[in-house]
Amino acid sequence: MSRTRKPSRRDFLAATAATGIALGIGPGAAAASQEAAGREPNTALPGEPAMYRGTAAGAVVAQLRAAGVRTLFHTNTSGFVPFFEAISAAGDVQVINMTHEGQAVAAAAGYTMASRTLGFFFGSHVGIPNALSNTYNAWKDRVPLLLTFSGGQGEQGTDGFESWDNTLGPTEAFTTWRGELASEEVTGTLRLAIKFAFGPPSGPVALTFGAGGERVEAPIYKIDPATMRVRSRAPSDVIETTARWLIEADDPVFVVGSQVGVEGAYAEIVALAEKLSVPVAETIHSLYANFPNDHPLFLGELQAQRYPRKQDVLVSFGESFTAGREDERGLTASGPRRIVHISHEPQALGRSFAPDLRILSDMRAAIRDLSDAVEGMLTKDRLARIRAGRLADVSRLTAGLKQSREIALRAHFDSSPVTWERVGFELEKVLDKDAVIVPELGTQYNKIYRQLKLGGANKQRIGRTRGDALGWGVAAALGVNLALPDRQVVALQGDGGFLFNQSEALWSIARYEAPMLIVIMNNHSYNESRARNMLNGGTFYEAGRDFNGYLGDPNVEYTRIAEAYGLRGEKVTRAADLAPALQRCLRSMRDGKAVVLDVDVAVDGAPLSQPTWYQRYSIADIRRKRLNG
Amino acid sequence: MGSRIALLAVSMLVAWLPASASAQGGQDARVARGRQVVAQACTTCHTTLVRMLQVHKQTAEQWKDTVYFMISRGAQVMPDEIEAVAAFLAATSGNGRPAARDAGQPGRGADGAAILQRNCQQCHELATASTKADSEEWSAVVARMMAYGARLTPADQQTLIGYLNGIKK
Repeated sequence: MSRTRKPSRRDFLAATAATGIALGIGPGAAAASQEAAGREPNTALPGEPAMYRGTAAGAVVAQLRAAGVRTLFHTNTSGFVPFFEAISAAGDVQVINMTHEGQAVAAAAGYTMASRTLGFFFGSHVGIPNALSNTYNAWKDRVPLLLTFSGGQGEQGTDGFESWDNTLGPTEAFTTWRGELASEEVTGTLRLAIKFAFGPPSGPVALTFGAGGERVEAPIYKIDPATMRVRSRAPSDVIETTARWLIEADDPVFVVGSQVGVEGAYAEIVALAEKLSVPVAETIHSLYANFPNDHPLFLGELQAQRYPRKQDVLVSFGESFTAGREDERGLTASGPRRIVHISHEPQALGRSFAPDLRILSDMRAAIRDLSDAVEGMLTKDRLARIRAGRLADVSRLTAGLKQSREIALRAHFDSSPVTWERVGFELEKVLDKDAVIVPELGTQYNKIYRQLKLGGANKQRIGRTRGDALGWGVAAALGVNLALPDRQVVALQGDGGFLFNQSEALWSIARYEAPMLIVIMNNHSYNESRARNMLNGGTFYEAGRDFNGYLGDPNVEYTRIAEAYGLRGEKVTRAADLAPALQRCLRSMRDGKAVVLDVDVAVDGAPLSQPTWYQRYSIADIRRKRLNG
Repeated sequence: MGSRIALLAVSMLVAWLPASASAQGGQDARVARGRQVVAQACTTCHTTLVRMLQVHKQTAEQWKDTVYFMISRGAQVMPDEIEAVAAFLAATSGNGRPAARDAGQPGRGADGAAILQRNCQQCHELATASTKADSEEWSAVVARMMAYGARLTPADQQTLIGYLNGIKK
């Protein structure tokens, strides 16, 4: 595997020659740089850009490097020769080849979410439609990405490949900005694009890539992705009001959302919840494990919330409440109460409901300010009394729920097909404490999540929000593995979702030796839709058939798909075989090879008398003409 | 000897009678408790629960499995409530015709109490109804429940609103 390495001085000098960063030595582009002021990056004044002289494509590489971008995702196309030359010369930039634009965007998104940097993709403009489903997912998940497509705006509709006049038009719904990366103002445009990618709201930016071998002189800006997002801090009066409401409340609740994960403010939110023993919920579309799910204050999903029955204050930290009706139920189930919505994204504030207080603030700042305000309003004794009283109640509740989950786990512990709970249980036993889970599952996900210790110092979960387009998980997990090579990465993948164009990602997983585990939760059905279709009865339910859910006939041999890509495959059909199979998977991962683990898992929802029924059709049977052969 | 046997038989019968009544009462109490738990723990997500119960007839053991997997999915049911929930679901499920068919028949009138019982009270307690206020509020509640999946004709909606508004507070 070609790994990113620290360049030697010799490599570095060669790179500067090709990428055109002026050092005053070297042939070609570097020679041109001698003609001008020749400022070196390390001699520029603070805040001043270094000057680049060389090809426009080289300027893109130089600017990306100055923004800390070293991993680029790509799908096959012509037209990027100058860009490849600059990448090659840079010496420390790795291109990850993918075989489908949509998978490449998913991998870039996974990489970005895990690394909290900036994802970059370049590919063909005729591949834009392929890229759209996972562009939508990245947009929905607010992932900062630069998606660049070959060709300039000047070529639109005229080069014979396509007939639409606005090359980036199809991306408009799912991008925060669109522009043209041309030789003129090349790094200025790129810098602007990066700013738009980090928002607010953050998300994908689409660019046509028209920067080629033209000679340019361009400023290179030092950009730190960690500080690119616009910072905000709430005025003290609204923080104090929230603190007072919290102190006066008998039954407050926190909702912890994805912005906590984006900012990595895990320790802060735990500390604040513990300060007042406030129970914590999440919504059904939480992108990360934002709060440790084994914490005695963690209640689970807001929508399912039963306790405390009559909440009087709800404070949301960084939840966008985009699930509509489900969120509304969660927000209204306990009746009237005060709702405080804190978000670092102004667009999310009060978008789907009307809170009593809307607070624009970074999560970390808001949590700390609120914590300070609470401390300032209470004596230590009173704080301790509030904390102790509530903690006992909430702990009793969460301990009871944990016991219920244990009963549910044991009810069919040895059943085959394997229960989802058992899969989670066995994974928890063998995975490292800091493993990363990348799920693409239906709403059964909690059966696994609640057997795993996720959030805080435990395993992390990256993805997936509700309503995402299928065909994301495996490539996203590859991106996560690229960003976190020292951690075990596990893609938890529904079989239905895998069949949405995901086998392509296995090629890149094999080529780049990503030693990850891909667990196919194989219930041979689109169970999410099947269960929902059957929920309220109807003609098909009464007939014991589901019209579209059955995924057998053919039953896909996922292990053989894995083997076709040179990966290892494991198949488990009996619960008793799961633990030994996982041990073999871990050994393979340890030795640097990915594994596809195909587990026959139980179907969820109403049982049907004809579960394998589908509307049969055979093209072979309707032939009227005898074919040669 | 014979009198001793007769005495024993009578005492057993006496002992059995209250026990039998108590078992029935225990089942009723369990179902009632289950209903309360279902109203609190299940309807937060399953807004079409009434319809679901009408459709899915299962035994208590089968319902217990359903409760298990719903617990795993996040339903907040405590260990000592599992049996009660299963008992309620078994006692309630599959009873009566689907509300949509009943309510949807043209010209079929229904009084408010019957509509409430058939469509609402499997999940919502009467106490909930008796704590609300005016007809405008009830209109909003019914509209919300329609959005959540309740199946009522426009005429039955008006009948229900009128009935709820007239309940003695």
